[in-house]
Amino acid sequence: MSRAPATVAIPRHVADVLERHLLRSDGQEDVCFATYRLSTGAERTTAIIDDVILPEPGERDVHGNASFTGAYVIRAAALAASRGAGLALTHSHPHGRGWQGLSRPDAEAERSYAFLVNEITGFELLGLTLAGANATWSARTWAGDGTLTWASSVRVAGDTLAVSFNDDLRPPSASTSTQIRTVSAWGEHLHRDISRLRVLIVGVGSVGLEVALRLAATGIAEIGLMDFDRVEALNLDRLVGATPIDAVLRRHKVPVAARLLRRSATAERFTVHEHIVSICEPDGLAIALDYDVIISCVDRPWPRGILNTIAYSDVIPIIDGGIHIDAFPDGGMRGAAWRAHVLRPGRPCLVCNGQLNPAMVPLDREGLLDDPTYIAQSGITARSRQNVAALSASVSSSILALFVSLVAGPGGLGEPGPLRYHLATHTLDVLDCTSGANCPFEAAVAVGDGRPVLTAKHPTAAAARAPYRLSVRLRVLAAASATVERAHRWLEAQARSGFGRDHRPGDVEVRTDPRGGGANDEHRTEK
Amino acid sequence: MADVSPGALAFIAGAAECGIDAVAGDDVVTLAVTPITGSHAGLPMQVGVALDELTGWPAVPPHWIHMPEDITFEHTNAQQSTVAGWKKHSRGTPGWGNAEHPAQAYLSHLRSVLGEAA
Repeated sequence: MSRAPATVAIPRHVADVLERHLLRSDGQEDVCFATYRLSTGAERTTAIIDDVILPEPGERDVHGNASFTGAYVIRAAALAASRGAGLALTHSHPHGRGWQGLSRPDAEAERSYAFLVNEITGFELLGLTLAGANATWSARTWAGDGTLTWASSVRVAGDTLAVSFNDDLRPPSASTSTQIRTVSAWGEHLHRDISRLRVLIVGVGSVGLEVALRLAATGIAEIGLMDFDRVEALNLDRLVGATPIDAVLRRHKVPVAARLLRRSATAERFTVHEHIVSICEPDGLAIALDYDVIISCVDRPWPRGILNTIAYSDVIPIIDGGIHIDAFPDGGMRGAAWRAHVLRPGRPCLVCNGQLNPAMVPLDREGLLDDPTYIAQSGITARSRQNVAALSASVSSSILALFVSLVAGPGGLGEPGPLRYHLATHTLDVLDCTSGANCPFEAAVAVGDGRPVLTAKHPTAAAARAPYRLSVRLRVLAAASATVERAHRWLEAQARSGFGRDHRPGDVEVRTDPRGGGANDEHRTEK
Repeated sequence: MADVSPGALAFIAGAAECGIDAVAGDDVVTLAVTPITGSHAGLPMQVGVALDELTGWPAVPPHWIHMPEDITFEHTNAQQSTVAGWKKHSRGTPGWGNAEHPAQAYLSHLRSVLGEAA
């Protein structure tokens, strides 16, 4: 194994098995083994727990603490090796709360088996601790030579996404004076965890940009933007915040969106990662695997096929949404409907909920869906391109509401399943979509790097990355625009540095414009 | 022979379970399929599926079916195959995703297509 897993992912149904075993009614500690697969991202590797190997009679002893036999280790390691998987040793701290450290006996126990497990499976031994007081997981790996490496987080993906963080490696940001309203909505503790999630937006069009802006304003400290496309004039009726200068300079959508996010972000230390790549390219997929949650704002079958894969294979919840506007052939709107859904183990995939025809994926990959000759010969229907900025906001809203349900679980309820909103009647359906009995996407839960390979070279993305030639006039415009942007950034930095210094919390200042004017001219500043 | 992806290996294994010997070549997996209807009913016919279309098997079905040039259709959307003397025909398979045995379902699709051959 080239890299120690930096994070761990557990599908909810697997976590349930582990928790039922490890959290005993008699309050004693317990222990068991599990297997894991690797999911290799561009910067991080994730160990995905895919199965539990419960002890057989006589293989472990519970006596306040828990111990196990060498035979149990050998059986579990051999089983893992036969599956080409790694081995995880899990144990519980029934009264523990939050990320758990290791006691010396626990560390010695894990270290003592590291070499053996490495020899049998070829993978590092993964150690996991379940803190029973708030069902929080912590994790580390042991190299064959006994070197310990702590993981940075463990995520459990079900109808809610519960992520436990190693504060040493993923420290929380202090909430800021700009986040008082947000923190008051869900509490400091939850805010610290939500703001630490790494969130990727795939497709920075009208919906993706708006979702990203809202997440940045919410306080998410690390957001990735992925899109290879450039801004054109025809985008300006939906890409709110992009300017005619962006369009005439044919700037990539990602840096334009990043510029807007930096202005909206409220996190103390905000990072926006700019990925001018397609998720259909191998590099794009690897980047996506570095994130905890992905927002899918793409409408083409190929990228949706890939996102539909990793939601299950790599246990990364994908929140997907889209809109269909039905126009009369002679003008006028017949209706519109938008849908939003979370793709994750336990929920129907895009094929099963009717949002992806897999037969279209290879056509899109070959570029045939953009080939008028092919479309005419094959008889398939060209993609519908109608869109309205006023309705894009509704799709964004649905996606963001699902995000909040997923990460905050309001009222103890997680994401509700697939949603569809009808514009004409203004009704919301919670769709009763069921998973196909033999769905190959959903059958590939937690396979990690064993996922089906749908990525390939993407000539359109490569062409879009090529430098765009600007005339002398446009080069002057670009330079002037960059200068203005730098000045704007400087001014905003000055303003931000004044937060909490120029005003005391709780101050409400009402000033009247000294030049005169009515009530509408009052400047009301609330801190 | 090119590198054979796990998806292509799964396709070959699935065909074998259906009693059909699929063989990976340089670019294409070839197999003999016997249509049960049409002018070639009962006759084994060589067809092929590109290896690079099988990397996503069984989640995503291959689109093109490669066949010798002497197999023709009244209506088709065909391009040159990478196999000398063959063409590839555009034949997507609808309703994919819930077959209990994907290889069996795809072989049914191949038989159905061959049943339309002139």
